[in-house]
Amino acid sequence: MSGRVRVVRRLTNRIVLQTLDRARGADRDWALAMSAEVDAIEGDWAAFWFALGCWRAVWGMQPLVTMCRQGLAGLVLCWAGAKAYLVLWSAQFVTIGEAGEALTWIPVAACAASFAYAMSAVCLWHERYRWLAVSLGVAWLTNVALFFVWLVGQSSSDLWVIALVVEDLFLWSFIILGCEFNFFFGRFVTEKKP
Amino acid sequence: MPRRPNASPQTRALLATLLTTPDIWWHGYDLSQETGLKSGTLYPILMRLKEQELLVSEWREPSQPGRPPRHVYQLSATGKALATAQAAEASAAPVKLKRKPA
Repeated sequence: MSGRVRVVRRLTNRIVLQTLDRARGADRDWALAMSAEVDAIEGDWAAFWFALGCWRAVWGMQPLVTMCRQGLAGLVLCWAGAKAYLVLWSAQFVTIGEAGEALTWIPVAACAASFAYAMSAVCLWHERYRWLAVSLGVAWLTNVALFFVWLVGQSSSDLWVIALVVEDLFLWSFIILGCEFNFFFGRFVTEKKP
Repeated sequence: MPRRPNASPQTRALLATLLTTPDIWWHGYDLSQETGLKSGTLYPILMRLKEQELLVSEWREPSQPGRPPRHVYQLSATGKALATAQAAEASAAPVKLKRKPA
């Protein structure tokens, strides 16, 4: 029984450490307050559930989660996700090599993607998520450029697919790095200013 | 119609609890026990109230040796005014929050 209790307490400590590790900047002070509170709770299971709640509270402070809670920003991210899906979908036609189908779907996917990028960039800029807006703007310009490359030399379909994958990797790296950078160096990158 | 800030049942329950003994400094766990709010709900509310300066908080040295200092909370003057106003409203329509049996 006591062994099981010790396991629960150990697990609680792991959660507390994760909570402290995840919190940055001003949130760190709150994470410390939570961990001190967990430490003061006598019951092992009570401390465990309390720690789990604290972890959830800190996780909820992450910029990406905060953004997704806000309708507009969440919507534009979904839009970008839909674009990625469209690109992958069109890419399968290209790799099969059926020129007829590829020619039909590449411009559709490219237009949808361009629209999603441009709208996302404008909305995020308006929402004051400048870093993400610039990332999406760059991705949009890349998208447009790639479309023209494809338009000029339609035969290079493999190059098109590779370029699109690289472009997507570039975009999502920007988004993820932007959010992570935000954790390490304070809330000035994706923070929504008042 | 725009949503009123700090009008959720959880926030109101927390403000009502803090108002019952406005001069006492509350610990997070005690607030959780008293309001029935889970820590994952309680702390984001505390943070928001602190940010809006409705709440004051400070670090207190522990009563037992070997324990870390704990954070304590109390309503600020603005917070008291808001909580009092909400309590007056609540007397007409009381806030119902599920609480675990002790």
